[in-house]
Amino acid sequence: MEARIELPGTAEQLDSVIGFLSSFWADAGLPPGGQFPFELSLEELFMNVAMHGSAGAETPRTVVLALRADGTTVTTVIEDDGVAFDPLNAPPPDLESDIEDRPIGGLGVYLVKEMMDRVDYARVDGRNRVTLVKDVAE
Amino acid sequence: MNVTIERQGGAAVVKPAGRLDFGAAAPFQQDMERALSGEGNKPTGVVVDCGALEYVSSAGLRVFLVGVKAAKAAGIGFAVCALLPAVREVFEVSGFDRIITVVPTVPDALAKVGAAG
Repeated sequence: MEARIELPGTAEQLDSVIGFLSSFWADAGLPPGGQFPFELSLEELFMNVAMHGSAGAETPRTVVLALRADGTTVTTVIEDDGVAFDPLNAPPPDLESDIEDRPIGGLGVYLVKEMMDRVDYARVDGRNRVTLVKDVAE
Repeated sequence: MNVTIERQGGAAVVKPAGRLDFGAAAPFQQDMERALSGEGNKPTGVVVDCGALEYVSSAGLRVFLVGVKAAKAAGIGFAVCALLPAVREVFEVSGFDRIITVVPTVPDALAKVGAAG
C-alpha cells in the first residue's frame, strides 16, 4: 500500500502530516504500536524544513511525503525543494555532559537515527530526499 | 495537550495529558515556569506526572531540560514519574533518563523532591 501528500513546509501543517500518517497506518492495517517512531521522525524532519528550510524564504518550501507498507516494512520518503541540506550531517548531541553544560536542542535528528532501521539522505533533481525504513512487526 | 498543576505536600505536581509535540511545547513551558515559581509560593520541588503523556518529541524534551535546569538553579528538586512506553523510549534514547530523576510513581517522585505524599 502506498500514499502520497504534498503540502507547504510550515509549522501550521504539522497536524496534517501526523493525520496523514495516522490514516495511512490504519488503512494499511499496520500494528498500532509501530506508529510512534514514524510519528516522531516525521515531526522532527518536517519541523526541520519548516523552521530552517522555509525560514526567511519568500514562499515556504513544498514538502512531499510518501508512505509505503510492504508487509511490516514501512518506508517513508520526505522531500523538500529547499537549498541542499543534509540533516543527517548534524553533529551528534552531547549526551554525556553535565546538566549545566548540556546544550538545548540538536536532539531531533539523533532520535530519528536511533529509532529507524535505516535513514538515508540524497539530493535528487534539486530536492532534498530523506528516506526512513523500519520493520514494525510486533 | 491538557496540563494540570496541583500542590502535594509542598511540591508542585505537573500533569501533562496527550501529545507534547512542537505545537504544545511553548504552552507547556509556561506551565512548567508557573509550577517552578509556585506563583509566589515557591514549591519544595517539581514533579512531572507523565501517566497520561502519550507522546513527546525533541521540542517537548527541551521543556523538561529547561525545567530541570531551572529547578537546580532555584535549589529545588525535580523528578519525573509514570512514563508510558513511548515516552520512556524517548527518555532512554536521548539520555534524558541519566540527567533527570525518573521514578515509577508519584509517591516515589514526591519522596525524591523531599515532599511527603
